[in-house]
Amino acid sequence: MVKRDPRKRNNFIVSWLFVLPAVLLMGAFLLYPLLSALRISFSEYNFVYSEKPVFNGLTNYIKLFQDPHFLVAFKNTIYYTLVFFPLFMLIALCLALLLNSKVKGNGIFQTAILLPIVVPLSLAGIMFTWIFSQDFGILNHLLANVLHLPNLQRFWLGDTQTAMNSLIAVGLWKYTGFGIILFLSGLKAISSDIYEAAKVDGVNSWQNLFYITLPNLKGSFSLVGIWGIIQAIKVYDQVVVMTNGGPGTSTLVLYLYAWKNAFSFFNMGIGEAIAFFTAALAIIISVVFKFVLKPEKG
Amino acid sequence: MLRKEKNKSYRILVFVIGVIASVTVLSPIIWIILTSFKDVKEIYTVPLTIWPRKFVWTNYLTVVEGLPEFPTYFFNSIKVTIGTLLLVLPASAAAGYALGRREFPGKAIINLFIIAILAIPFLVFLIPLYIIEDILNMLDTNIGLILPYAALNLPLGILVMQASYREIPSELEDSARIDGANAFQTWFQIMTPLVITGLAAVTIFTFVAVWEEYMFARTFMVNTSAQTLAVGLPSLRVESKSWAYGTLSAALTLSLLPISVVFIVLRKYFVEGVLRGSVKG
Repeated sequence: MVKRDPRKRNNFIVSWLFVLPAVLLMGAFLLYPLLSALRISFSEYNFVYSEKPVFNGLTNYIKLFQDPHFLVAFKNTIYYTLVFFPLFMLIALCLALLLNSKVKGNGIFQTAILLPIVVPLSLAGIMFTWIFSQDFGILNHLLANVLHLPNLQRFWLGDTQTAMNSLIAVGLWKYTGFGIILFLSGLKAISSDIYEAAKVDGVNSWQNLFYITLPNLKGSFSLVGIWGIIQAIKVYDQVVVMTNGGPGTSTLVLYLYAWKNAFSFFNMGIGEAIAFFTAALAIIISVVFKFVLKPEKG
Repeated sequence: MLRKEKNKSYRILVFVIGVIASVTVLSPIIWIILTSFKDVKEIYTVPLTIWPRKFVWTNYLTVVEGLPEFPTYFFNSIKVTIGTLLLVLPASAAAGYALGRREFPGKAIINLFIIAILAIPFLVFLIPLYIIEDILNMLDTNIGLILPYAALNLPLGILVMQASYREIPSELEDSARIDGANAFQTWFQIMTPLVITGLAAVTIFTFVAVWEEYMFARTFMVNTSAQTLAVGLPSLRVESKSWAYGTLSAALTLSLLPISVVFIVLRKYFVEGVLRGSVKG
């Protein structure tokens, strides 16, 4: 039908010429790999010994749940998320509320707070490895000699009690600024008329916050929340650089365990099964979040 | 009067908290910069000093003269970043224009695919892409990073450009058509100059994403000669000869410089762009 009408046909060809470069790139490096990934996750495929993937149904997924290391990685990722996420949201929201006023230096504050978003996480990992180091680390030095709290000194990355929390601190350092900026733009979008009207009614600041500002921020909560949770679920870079999963398996996370399965043990099938499990986790949480914080429609 | 007084003290409070937050966030970077100017002996002396006793350039000289890997990593990062931008910018502008302003069969499917891709963590693509690159002999080459990076950054780029083109009033496009401009001219000469903000946003977030990417670069670039800064610098730590924080902090400072400059100049577009194109991690 498209081909009958020359004008329609022309439009069809021209439009597809516009999208062609993008479609070719995404087809070759996203769509094809995605289908291939699905097949691998349902196959026995050792990259060194197997000639090609051999279909084995759900075996990889079943194996995962019998693998104690996978369960540890799952548990650690959940722990990371459960600590990271509330802190991330709370700090980002509070600082955004404070910075949402015409204060001198606001632009400079925002630039400074957002700067870590451009610091590669792996390089931040090197910086913090040293900051957390036992003997020459500035953190232990400050605790002992400036705050005079030598009891709080730790072997931060070498102790199973503190290693994961140290990695979470690096994640917060890197990502919270971005959360602030997202919240700030949500705050700017709230019409000032509402506040003017409230002022006339003699509403105080706390009522302003709880009855006007926060309910109007629902959209931002869902945006920042989903983004924050995904950053937590995909934690990888600083883990590799700082602890590589250790000590023991105390910082083994899903991304790292998938990587190790695929590129240390060459077990591509298992690696891809973990990848899809992680993807499902991220998507389900995002959907739930979106559903819970659905903005009411007028 | 009372309200004004209250307002003033609130502003001072906000200012103070702003300063504290900024200093806290910047302190690790400041610490690394200060360290890079310290003598190696001072770095490993207890108790630590925060301000260098004497500023020395030795660590920077070591990086420049004694660390041949550093310029290699640096130029690989530059080459990969520019290569990716050269693919992402025209491809996302062209596709964004067609998807934002034209009606054609297949449009809905492309849009659906873009949204679906944005929801999938990159980890899923890692293994198949590795296998493909192994077959095509693309491992340990710049192009072996440029092509996947371009593909992975395209969906967000297209979303941003689509939104940018959609904001232009349609009278402009109509009058161009009446003047006899063809579709390509309309896109490139009339419409694209009006979406420079969108292009700036795509530039900065692609730049940032590529400059910091670690997992793909670490997996695909095993050979030192092909590695980028994000992968190369952490690996320097392992080699005992370079494992001194003086050298490393100088190298860190140098590698954070370009991205910080780009960021400070284009910050506005970064925020705007990410908001426009929803958010991707």
